[in-house]
Amino acid sequence: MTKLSLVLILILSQSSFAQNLLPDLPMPPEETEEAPATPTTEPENAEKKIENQIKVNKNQLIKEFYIHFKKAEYIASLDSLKQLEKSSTDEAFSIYWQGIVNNKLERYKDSIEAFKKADKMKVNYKDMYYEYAQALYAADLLKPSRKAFGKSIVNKHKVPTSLYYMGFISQTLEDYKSATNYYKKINSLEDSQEKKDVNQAARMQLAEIYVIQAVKSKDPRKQIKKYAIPEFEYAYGLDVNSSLAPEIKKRILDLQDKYDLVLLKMANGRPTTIPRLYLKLSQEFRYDTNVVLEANQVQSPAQDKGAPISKTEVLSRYAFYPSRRISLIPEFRGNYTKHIDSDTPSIYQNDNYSLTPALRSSYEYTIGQKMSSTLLDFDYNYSARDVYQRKELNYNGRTLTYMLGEKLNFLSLGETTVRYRLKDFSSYNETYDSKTNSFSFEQMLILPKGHVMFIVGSYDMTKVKNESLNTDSYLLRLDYITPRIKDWVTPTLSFTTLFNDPYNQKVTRGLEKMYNPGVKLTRGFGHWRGNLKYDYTRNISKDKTAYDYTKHVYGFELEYLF
Amino acid sequence: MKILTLLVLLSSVTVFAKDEKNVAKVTMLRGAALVKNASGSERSLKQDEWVSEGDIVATKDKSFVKLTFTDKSTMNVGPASSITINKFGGGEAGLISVIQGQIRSQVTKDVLKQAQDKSKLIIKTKTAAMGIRGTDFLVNYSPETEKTNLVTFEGNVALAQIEGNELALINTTQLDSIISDPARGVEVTGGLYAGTSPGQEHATIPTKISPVQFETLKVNENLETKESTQSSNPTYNSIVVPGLSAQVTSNDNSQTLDNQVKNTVGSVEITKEINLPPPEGYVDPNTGAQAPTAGGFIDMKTGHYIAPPEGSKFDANAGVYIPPSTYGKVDESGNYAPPEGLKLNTEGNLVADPAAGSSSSSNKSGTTTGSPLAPSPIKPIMGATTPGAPGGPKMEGPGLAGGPKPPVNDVLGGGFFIPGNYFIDNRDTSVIPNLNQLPTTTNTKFIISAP
Repeated sequence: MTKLSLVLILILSQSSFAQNLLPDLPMPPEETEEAPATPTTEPENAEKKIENQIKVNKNQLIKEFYIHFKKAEYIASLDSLKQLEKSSTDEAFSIYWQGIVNNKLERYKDSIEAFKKADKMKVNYKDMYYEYAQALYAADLLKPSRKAFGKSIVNKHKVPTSLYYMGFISQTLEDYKSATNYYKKINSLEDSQEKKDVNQAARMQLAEIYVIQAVKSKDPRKQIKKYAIPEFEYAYGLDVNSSLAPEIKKRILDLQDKYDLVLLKMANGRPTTIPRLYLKLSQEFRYDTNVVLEANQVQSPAQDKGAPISKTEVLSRYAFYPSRRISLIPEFRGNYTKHIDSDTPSIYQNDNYSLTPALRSSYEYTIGQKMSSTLLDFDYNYSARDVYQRKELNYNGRTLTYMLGEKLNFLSLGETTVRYRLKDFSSYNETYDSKTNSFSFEQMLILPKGHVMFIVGSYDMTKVKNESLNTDSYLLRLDYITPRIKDWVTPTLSFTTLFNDPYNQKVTRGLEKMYNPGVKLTRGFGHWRGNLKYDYTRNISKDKTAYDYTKHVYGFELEYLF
Repeated sequence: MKILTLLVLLSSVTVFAKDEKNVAKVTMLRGAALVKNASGSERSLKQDEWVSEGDIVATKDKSFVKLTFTDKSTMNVGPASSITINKFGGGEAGLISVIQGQIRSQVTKDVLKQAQDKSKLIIKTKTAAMGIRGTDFLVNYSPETEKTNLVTFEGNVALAQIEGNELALINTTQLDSIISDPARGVEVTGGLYAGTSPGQEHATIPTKISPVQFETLKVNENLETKESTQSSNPTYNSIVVPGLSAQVTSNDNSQTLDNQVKNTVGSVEITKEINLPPPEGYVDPNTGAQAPTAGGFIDMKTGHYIAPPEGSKFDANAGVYIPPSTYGKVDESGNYAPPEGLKLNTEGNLVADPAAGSSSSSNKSGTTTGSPLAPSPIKPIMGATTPGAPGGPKMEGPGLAGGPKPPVNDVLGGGFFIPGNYFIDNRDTSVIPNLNQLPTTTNTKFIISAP
């Protein structure tokens, strides 16, 4: 640099940008030190002073830029950079950062110019091509952008994301072969958080390419089933909890529906069960202040003894849809109940387990354009209990239940179901064998603001081999579900009232009445669900010693749904 | 009698003169402005003229007035704005009501030192009260939407939502106690924005607005209206490509800069920001107060905050989302300028602007901008979630375009949704054994879960 140009720069620096310098900024010690006192001639001294002055000004401008940039004062930081560009012998810093700042300001044309210049100057900051490529992409210069992302990969900067961009650009340019290669390359990279963040989207895009190719083929349905759906499922499986996962799942359902790969709705519009398999495990701990017979027993004298109880249950079912009108749902329920107090025979006699396979079916149709279903269920129940109070579980009884029902939609507020049920119970003690005919009515009421009410009414006639135990019963149950409180817990209130007529013992027992209010608080945590429960039961009977009782049940139940 | 009449007249003039206490001088005037005094008389405002307690100062379009108060604080009244100087000086905190438009105020540091624990000046709108403890801030109020926006450039301003009977309050001690109540007031420190809206219980949690708007407003001290030099707003592709989050596509180069600067000029101290809500927005689980998504624009005309939508890129250095160019820009005055052919209506939707002669347009992101456009699809973080956890907004594109909505099913299977986002699992239906000697009946268990 000539002396004249140095002097000119000095004059410029002092007149224009020096006014904008921050006077109170601390100067780094090495910059404020005076030049070493070596014997030089006068013109040489002047030149060194000028050079030092330029260096000081350059550093102050860098500081100024830095402070503005850190405060996100991008317009001001750009001014500092432009002054720096004019004054500095090292333009690379200024040009590169002008590109970056213009990207932040979304002035992509300016940033492209800056990066182009930096590229010509062979500036090669690690992330420059990534930023350059983004600016080119924003300006719709897709092929140059793809090339720049390629250079970013050479610089080993944001490799998975750059590959994704290259894939996406190729996909946009309908260069599916290249797009497929770029997307697939991401999977072969070393594991990193960035790869994890990008790979799922890449595999989803890959699946989308398969869809495009399948649509062009002779048999789109087959191609989508064979290639696209498995790829979507692979993408989904990479991270089922990601924010993209629901979108992928939605896409799978959409394609399955569109290409008739899976039944999503029955002929009458009723949604099918997805996924088809339902599996639930639950563990409940409760304290019952007055344990009465819990297993399949007709006889149940009041105990007036409390005990903690553990109950473990498994419930699973799988839905089959042989046609758009018929559903077949095999189900299995098993549970085991253990009374923790093991010293009182009248309590531990209630320890039991039961196994209940069932087959539920429905026929779907419409009445007056509204969804209706005819229901036919069959249940078999086997139960074992400590019937002999010997701390061992023996055969207690088995029950066969047949149910015929009808689900209707004549009320706009919710579905109505009527059922007839026949239950045949065989006890370990045949005098307790019984048959029950039951008629029930269920009404769902969906109320405004997320409130729901469920009403069940039932009339049951039980004929026992020992006829003195015959009963007629009338039950009414209300369940009221309120919206979640502060998005945290859902309360359910219930109230059951039962009138039981042991007509062959009416003299001693009279018409028995039972009232059973309860409350349940439910909170879900992903697959987990916790229930806090309380129930109060008051049974009023003329027979004060055996059938008249009161009890409280406090419980906590933890469920896991697969 | 004549002497008595003269005495009465003199005393009334004295009383009048006392009521008409001069509190601020017009030190700069551009365009046209009016002043209306307490007695209802109206006159044009002139340079170097004094205004008094009780005066209403109103500016016309493209005009502004700079008032210098007796304590050397200044207040710029922006274009198409009007304020009432309810009270000023006399040892108590001053009170100024913003009826419409925007003010920019710079309170002298010396004045603030006099009463550090109390507000020196209170500014009131129909929905907010602000205690001025800072040195440089901007207040904007839209009478159409009754929204108040506060941007603090330096220092600290306390903001609280006011409603009901509080609207009529002119007692500055009472107003100050509302503002100072931690349950109601928020401290808006330099660099941050907060606002109030009718119907909300709380002022928003302070957050950052668009860095470009903030910077431009900061520089535009006189609230001047400047015509944009750009003929049209260029539209660009969103660099947040479909499938990727804004954070993943973002390139954080602040560390590179730190190293470069350290190697060149040594270490430079920068004050770090603390206690900012996550840029995605935040909902306080205890108070229900919300922080909008950071990086949005304030529309000075309607008072709406235009939050960055899906597809906004993330600026890791500023800690904000940058709305795409299709959502408009900031003009050289610092005002929000909607995309060409559109305007922001009072409901906060971008709609076709008949004055622009264009009914609809389409941009590169595929957003049809002729129809109403909901401006804030980024979901704020609920308080229960760890702030900063989500991956940020995503944008739909050709590859990821969603088809028809799936049927109302859930991973849990066979049940149905009901209003209020509950899922009723009605499959758990079974015949229960003879519980408590009950006859066999059906007990449908309700299992509620979030969809």
